[in-house]
Amino acid sequence: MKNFGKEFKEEFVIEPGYTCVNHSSFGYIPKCVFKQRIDNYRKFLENPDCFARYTIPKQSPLVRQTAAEFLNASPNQCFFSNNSAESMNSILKNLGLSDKDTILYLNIAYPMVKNVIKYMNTNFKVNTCMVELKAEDLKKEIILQYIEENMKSKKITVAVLDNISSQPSIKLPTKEFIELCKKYDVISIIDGAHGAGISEINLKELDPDFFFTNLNKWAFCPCSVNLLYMKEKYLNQIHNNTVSVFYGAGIEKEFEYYGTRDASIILSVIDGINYINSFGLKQIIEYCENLAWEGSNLVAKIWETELLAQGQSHAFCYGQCVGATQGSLLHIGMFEELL
Amino acid sequence: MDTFGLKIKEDFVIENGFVCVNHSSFGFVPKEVFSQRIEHYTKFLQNPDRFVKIDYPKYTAEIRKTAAEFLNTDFNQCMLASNSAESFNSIIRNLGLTENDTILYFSIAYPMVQNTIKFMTTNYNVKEIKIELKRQHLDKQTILSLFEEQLKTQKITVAVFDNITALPSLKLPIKELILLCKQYNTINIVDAAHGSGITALDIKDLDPDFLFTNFNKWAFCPSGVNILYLKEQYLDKIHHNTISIHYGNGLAKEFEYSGTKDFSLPLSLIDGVNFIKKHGLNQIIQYSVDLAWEGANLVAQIWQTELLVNDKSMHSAMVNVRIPHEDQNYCRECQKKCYEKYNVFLVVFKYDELNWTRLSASLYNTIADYEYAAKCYLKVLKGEE
Repeated sequence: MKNFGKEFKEEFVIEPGYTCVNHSSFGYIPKCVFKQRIDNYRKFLENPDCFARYTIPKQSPLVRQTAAEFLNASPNQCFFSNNSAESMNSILKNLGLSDKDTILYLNIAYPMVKNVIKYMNTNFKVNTCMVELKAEDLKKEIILQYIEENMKSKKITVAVLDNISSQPSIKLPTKEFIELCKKYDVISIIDGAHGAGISEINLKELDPDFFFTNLNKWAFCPCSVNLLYMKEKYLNQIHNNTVSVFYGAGIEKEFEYYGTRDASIILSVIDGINYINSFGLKQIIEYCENLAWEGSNLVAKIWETELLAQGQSHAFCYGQCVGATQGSLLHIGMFEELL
Repeated sequence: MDTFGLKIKEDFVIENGFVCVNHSSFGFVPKEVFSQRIEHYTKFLQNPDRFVKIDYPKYTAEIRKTAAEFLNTDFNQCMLASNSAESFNSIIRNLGLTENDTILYFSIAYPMVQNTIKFMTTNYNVKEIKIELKRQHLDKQTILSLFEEQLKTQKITVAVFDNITALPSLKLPIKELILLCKQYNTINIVDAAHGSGITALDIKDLDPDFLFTNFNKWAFCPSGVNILYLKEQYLDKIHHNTISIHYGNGLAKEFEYSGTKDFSLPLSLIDGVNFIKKHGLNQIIQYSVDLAWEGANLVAQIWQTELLVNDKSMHSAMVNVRIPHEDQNYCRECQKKCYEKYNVFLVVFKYDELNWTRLSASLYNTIADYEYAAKCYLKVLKGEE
């Protein structure tokens, strides 16, 4: 078996000569996944009526099952959307929030999340509570302390936390956060955009109210597929943010079809997950985390600067803008500026 | 036009042996558009950061300009959407409608439109009026008079109507409907999901408040490309239905990026439009409309039934023929059997108590397709397969 690194690069769809040190804004895929993708896509285009009516209903339960198993959740609580924006919009706009409610979030939340919260504030007068984290606060205990302080002193209805934040990028204490939410009777939403494929996610154990994750960032699915998970009690409350032909026919149908699009991309979810499982999720995580850490420390040395946060709060992402040397390998995920 | 028919069929991505008489639920693409699509897609996947951050903003300008030219309007008023559901949700949910407002629509409006209206009535107590169109109402004058009656007697805030309805499929008199809306100070929304590539849409001439149209149905683009047009006065009011990173940065930016997706897909709009220009929009329309009419009449003859509406001018390249069976479930079962056994798929729907098929025609169709479809389906219906 090949080792991760230079040998592996040939297996990926990457522009020749390009040095990638930002794997996960959109994700890169293995050639084998790409080939299967084009095959599936062609089948869809050749006969879209029958593909949508007969092929997809047959295959989609297996896709959902595979994805649900990968995250240790029940398939009936898992739905596919195009991206995190669709998932987050679907959740937050359907919780029936009003001026009596308050949403808690961190200042390092992703701009899309902050904008949806702003939208709720502007249009429905929902109150907001932003927890400000400075560089020196980027430690697990401090983050949890600030969150708990706010939950104690205010009546928070719903709280959002990244699994792994985007900019700056750090791993957040999701398990403890969810426990705090339960303690203070707060609805928990985990923005796991960065999640599947780079964290070991066990939804049965984590037990959040809501969780969504991209499958294209780290799970080798082409851009873009998102999985939305929710507790059973919300299945009759949440609607797809896009109202379409299946509105009211049950959340499953609402997410199965909500407007013409490429019906074949879903099939790549299985290919991406199979790719991960062929090496082992733990092995992939270990390689990427260690290399990102090593690589960033090297960059900091070359630049004579420093990492944003020391210690265990990093997954694979570091809040620095850098290019890597020619040796850059499986991938180091880094975030520079936003789109 | 001699190149249309069997010869051009080889240039299309159609499953081997499949007889297509329903071009436009999703659309079928020419091989050249498909190969360009794969090129764009590969480029995107190989270096998505560069594609999205550097190339895509340039591409979107070009795509919107191409669409605007094709629809004869201003590119600043054309937004790139993925589908009609996205466009319509974005419009209707941002008009600030309340219980003081009323939405007017026809009973043959597309289910997505009807459901979004239902969403507005459920969540915002907006009132709605549905104009029931039964078979006997399906002529231009009756449609216009029923519509005007509502505008006259009710205070209608906004009216939605199809350019070409889906099921049953008919061309509606949108020019006159828009004029009526202006006369009665009603916001008008044209659902032209069926539009680009099968009608010569001239937005400057039509002058609607809103219009959205798919480019995959008739403009030879793969599924997932839609253009939303709106009058300038709405540019600061409407928001994309999915709130994302560009919320508040202007509508064009909101539509350009509303979450991660396949950013290479919209490029196919240019390829599809080029394909149309190569063959000539009028030639394409004429061939498709004439063949759909001829084909549907042949089917009606073979089935010994009739067309839903006997006026060719009320049709585009989709025509409705009555299925000689009363049981809708049975007709659907036969639809599946017919596909499995004879490799031809017929659209089946119920309208005004009867069962119908909708036949469509595109460049690669010939009259033989309709003869085949009619005979095969009839065999299955009779249990003779």
